Amino acid sequence: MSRETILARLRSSGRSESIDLPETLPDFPAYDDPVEQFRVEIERVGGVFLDARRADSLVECLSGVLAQRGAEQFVWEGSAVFERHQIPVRYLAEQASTEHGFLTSMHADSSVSLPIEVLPAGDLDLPAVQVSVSSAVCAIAETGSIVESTAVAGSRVLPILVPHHVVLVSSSDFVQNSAEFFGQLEPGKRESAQILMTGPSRTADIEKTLIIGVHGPQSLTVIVTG
Amino acid sequence: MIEIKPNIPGALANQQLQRNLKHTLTGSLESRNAAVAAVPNWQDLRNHARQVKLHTLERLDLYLERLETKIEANGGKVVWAEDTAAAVAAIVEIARSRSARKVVKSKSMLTEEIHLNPALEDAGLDVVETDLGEYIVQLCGEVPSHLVTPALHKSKEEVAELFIEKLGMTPTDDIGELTQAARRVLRQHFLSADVGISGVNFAVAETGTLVVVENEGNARLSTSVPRTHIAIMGIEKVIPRVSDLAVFLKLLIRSATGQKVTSYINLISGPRRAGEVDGPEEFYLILVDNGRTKVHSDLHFRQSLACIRCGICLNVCPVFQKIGGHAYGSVYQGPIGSVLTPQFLSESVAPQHPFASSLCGACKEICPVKIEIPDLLLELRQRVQEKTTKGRPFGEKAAMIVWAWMMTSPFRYKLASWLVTRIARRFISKGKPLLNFPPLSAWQKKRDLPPIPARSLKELYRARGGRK
Ligand code: SF4
Repeated sequence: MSRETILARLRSSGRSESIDLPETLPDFPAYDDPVEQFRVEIERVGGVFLDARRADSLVECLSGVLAQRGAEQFVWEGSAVFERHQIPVRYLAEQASTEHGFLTSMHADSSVSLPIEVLPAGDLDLPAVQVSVSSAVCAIAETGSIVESTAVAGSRVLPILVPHHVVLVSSSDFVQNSAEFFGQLEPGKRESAQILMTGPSRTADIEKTLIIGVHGPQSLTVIVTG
Repeated sequence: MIEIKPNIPGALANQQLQRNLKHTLTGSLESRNAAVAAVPNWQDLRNHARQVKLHTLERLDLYLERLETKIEANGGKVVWAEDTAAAVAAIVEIARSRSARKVVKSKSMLTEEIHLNPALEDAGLDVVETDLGEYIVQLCGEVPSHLVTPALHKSKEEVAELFIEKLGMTPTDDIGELTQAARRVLRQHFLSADVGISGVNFAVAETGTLVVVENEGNARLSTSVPRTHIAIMGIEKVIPRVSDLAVFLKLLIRSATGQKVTSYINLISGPRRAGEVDGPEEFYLILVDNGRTKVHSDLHFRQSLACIRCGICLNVCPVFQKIGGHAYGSVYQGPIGSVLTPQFLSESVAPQHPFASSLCGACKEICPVKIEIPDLLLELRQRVQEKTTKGRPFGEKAAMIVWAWMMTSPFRYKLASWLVTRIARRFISKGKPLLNFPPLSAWQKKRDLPPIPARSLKELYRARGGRK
């Protein structure tokens, strides 16, 4: 068996000197205004930053994004997003289980609430979706990264498959830097996957020339909520 | 035997390759230097990372077992493979038993090392590389020419020609359009694949989490859309703690691409869980040895397993800058390739690799985990020499004895240099007959000898009144 062979070889190969794991991490930068630092970083890599910390501006913000991308509807990754960000929604049909389905929302017809239509996940034509909205569990000021977890945001695939992705992140979920983020992270405790996203998808594989929008979205919009 | 020497004249004469190398390597070094200059405690980060890696290598067995336990607890399966054959067999078996027809792959140098693609194709599978650079290289039927930028050797005109021929796209040399063409084709492959294969940048033992760093989104799709995800890694990729990722990612990304952070960093802890909307139903991790335990058993060479494959030692190497990746003839190229290849495959298979270096030390200076590449190359040279020639050739020995005799007395040294410059001025200058006969003719075939000045520095110094 390969397993035993490999382990036996490693065990017999000897130790040089004993080297301990370092106890503390080197310093990482910290900021007086983490949200502002985050904005600078995400805009630097071609992301869009919107401030909706005033609760009444959120619905307006969302319909603005929709109009700008020329899309008819959003796909929400589960209803948890509404609760997390206290989004006023109005269901168009009585559907019991909204938990794991994708929800589509028509154009906001008022600035008060979003009309919601519930579609079971299977009925959704994924490749046709133009804009998806999900919720981040964390934002990292140092690098302008947002973090999605499959335990909260839902889909592992959708944020990469769509041309335009929108992420809501609460201002209370900001951390200063990646050391703080990884220091408190317990990956796999609740979810199968987490992803740190920083700006839209990109490549420089041909002549080191930067191209935005390869396999993932051409645009990433981050909305900070109160 | 893998040779480098015969490939050099061709690489140097290839104008297109020279232009591409110069263009991309200069740009990538500049952006790396700027990204590193912005981190005041870069040296602390390097020391930290090196310490973590060396610690892990001392207890590799323990951390691998811990990783295995955690992955299994997360619902994944772990397969150990001691060599190429075992790794390939395991993957083919998984694909076969799922009746898979199509495999999408995101970047993995290890799969190049074990020649996975041809093996999967032989087993009747359709294999598609999805990283744009890898896809280009695959369409050409070539192998990557760089750890991080596989299609480094290609110009946009060459890629355009390739896409016109293979994808039937309308002629263009707009890089954006070329990228979109690849996106459209690859999108279909993602959605119809049965198995996704990915590499691994780091595997965290304490949580059973794999870290995959990328910019395009193809790794996320390869590891999430197909029913089965197979990740493959060398046993040296394990690290003990989650918290150290902050340091490793900062070092890796700034070195590899000059970015502050990549567009995506995927943290994968097993297959889809109950309650999650998508993700693979099955998750496998293949742990590959393939020569690594051999390297591990050598206490001095063990440090070469600390490499995080950032590729920056290639970019900074004056030899790589001139000959490019393909001239090395091996999967791993450049300075670290010259250290790893003779160890993985034995010195007699790759005897020229340790010599493909000027020992200038730039690789050691720039390496984010401070691997002592020049020292290791020197030691490998010695081993090759011992293996191939039972000591130095007679001519060299004799020359060294004479040299030592001359150098150990100021009088003899002065006399010799006086003599040599006189002889050289008369007989060895450009166009003079002595240059056209061996052994000097071999030397001057590829080099110009600058004219020997009429007076030496010392003579000039004295003539201008310099004191003794
Ligand atoms: S040896 Fe160092 S510089 Fe070279 S690829 Fe590995 S980590 Fe990077």
